[in-house]
Amino acid sequence: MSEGDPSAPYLSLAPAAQRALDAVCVTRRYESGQVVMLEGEADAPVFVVRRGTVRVYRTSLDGREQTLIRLGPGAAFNVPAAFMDPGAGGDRSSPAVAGARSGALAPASAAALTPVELALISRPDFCQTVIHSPDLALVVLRDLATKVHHLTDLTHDLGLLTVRARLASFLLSHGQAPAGAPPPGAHVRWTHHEIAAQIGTVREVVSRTMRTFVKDGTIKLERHRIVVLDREALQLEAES
Amino acid sequence: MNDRVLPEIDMSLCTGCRLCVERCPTHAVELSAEQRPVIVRPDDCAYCGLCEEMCPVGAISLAYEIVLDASGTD
Repeated sequence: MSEGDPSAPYLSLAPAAQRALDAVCVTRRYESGQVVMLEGEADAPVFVVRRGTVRVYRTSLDGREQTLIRLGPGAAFNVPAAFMDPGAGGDRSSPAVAGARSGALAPASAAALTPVELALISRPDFCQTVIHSPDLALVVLRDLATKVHHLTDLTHDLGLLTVRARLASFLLSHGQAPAGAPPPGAHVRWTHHEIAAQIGTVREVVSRTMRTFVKDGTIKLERHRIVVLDREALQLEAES
Repeated sequence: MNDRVLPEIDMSLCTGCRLCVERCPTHAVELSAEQRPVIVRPDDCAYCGLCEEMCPVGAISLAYEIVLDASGTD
């Protein structure tokens, strides 16, 4: 079976697996900005993105957000919940933590970045469908493996890199070639707040760090454009 | 791509404090009849980001494309 695009594993399901999922899902549409799943929500289903882009994030008590991942068509979220024992594990001293770790409560929030269409599958139905479809089981395993890899990188970046390094890395990885067109559905414009949520800081720090990059001549700011002038210097920043 | 990109003001967060109106260097922003900021002179907006910096509640945001300069080193 072809592996397909690792960021869109549910786009390349074998026909029988696709039919099995279609038989147990309901379709929901959300407008841009709508919250799809709330951190701590009980019994949230498994979601598969059919159209649009969804942001999955955690929120601190003081309102700061950390983006965990952005997902497009063919991606899924809240999948682990389908396979976690509701009564097992967790920190008994904190019901919220215990709930999230047991799979009973959603571990993160998800919001539509664009108008989205999602397939919702209840956790028991998803689990049963996977049990009876080896093709789907393989897709789920590959998807979870990809996400573990992504979250490992994110943990490394947040824990071991400076904000300067993280911002430099972000600018390099999200910069568009001047002559190239962004792929369809790509997030083309970023606010400082959105960048902060991606790289684990606050808007003011992003703005301040951008100004030092401008002063260093590494980037320049034009009207609604951040232009990366010296990729090599930025790469050195990203590795420092 | 639309060249006249303007700051976005989230009215659900805006408290009507007028700081953006008072600090805009080109006077592109004014208060509406509902006491909320509106960019009434979009051609005058320099996209300087001062309104975003000044806003105490984060109601204003400026969005940027990130572009790799063609002449930059690889």
